[in-house]
Amino acid sequence: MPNEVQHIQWALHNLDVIVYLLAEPTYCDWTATVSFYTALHIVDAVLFAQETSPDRRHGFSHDQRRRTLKKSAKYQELYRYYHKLHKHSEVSRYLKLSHGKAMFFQQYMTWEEVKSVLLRQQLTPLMLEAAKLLGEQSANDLKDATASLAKSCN
Amino acid sequence: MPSSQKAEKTEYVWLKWSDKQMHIMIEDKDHDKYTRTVGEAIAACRAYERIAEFRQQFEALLNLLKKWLNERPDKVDKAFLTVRDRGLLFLVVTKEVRYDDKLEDELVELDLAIGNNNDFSEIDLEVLALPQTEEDNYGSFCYPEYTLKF
Repeated sequence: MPNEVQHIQWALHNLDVIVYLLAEPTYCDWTATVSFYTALHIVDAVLFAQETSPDRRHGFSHDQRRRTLKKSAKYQELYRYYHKLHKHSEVSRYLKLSHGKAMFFQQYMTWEEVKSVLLRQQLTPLMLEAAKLLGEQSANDLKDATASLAKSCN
Repeated sequence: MPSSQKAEKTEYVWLKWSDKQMHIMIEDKDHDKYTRTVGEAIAACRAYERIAEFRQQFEALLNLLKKWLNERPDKVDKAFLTVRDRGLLFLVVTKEVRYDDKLEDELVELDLAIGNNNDFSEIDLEVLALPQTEEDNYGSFCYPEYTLKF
């Protein structure tokens, strides 16, 4: 099972994919999906760093993760962003119209909103909130990554 | 019962935890017989109490969700309570296709309020707002046999 550092490495890898997708405004839906999986690894890194019992540090299902984030005051701010990113990924993955999934997601959220709302107002604050709960190296890696993401969103 | 008639005294069969290994037999009206240990009977009583508590909390939850929906008639098109994973899903379908950040904020605050309210200790609720979409789409989030439409 991955530890805190490995989860952060995965998250950084996913952030590279987001930056790659930002070059092409066609892939709103995939940007939403990758953003959620980035958030998921960041949240799992936080849970690894903060939780003490072995069964809570490893192997969270979506259900367990959601319950843990919701019930603890220290994770609630994180949960507010995580919940929204999860929801966008569900819209991007499961909703479709007869003329295609990507078309639907762009009706739900424009390319500009993907950058301004999803990435700047949801994923970036989640990363900064998580940084407060992580070890120094992981926190610095995430803060650096938010700067790169902000640059790519411009 | 006439006031002069003395109330019949209830007699109890008293099963104690100290006899938890003891076997008991219970017979129902159809003469079906159930053999259990006293420990298992105590566990069944606890489960029954939790079911009763859950029913009470579920009613309160329905009232709360209805109130939340009634306060947002201009934004919500349809809403359902269904089952998902190990808990319940409050599924809202908005009137608009466009993402509504304010409604999403309100929904997540409802989610946190319910999740951290001891009056809903037996309820595990997830919330989800979907944009206006075809029935096939939102229907795929609803467990057909266990879905309540508001």
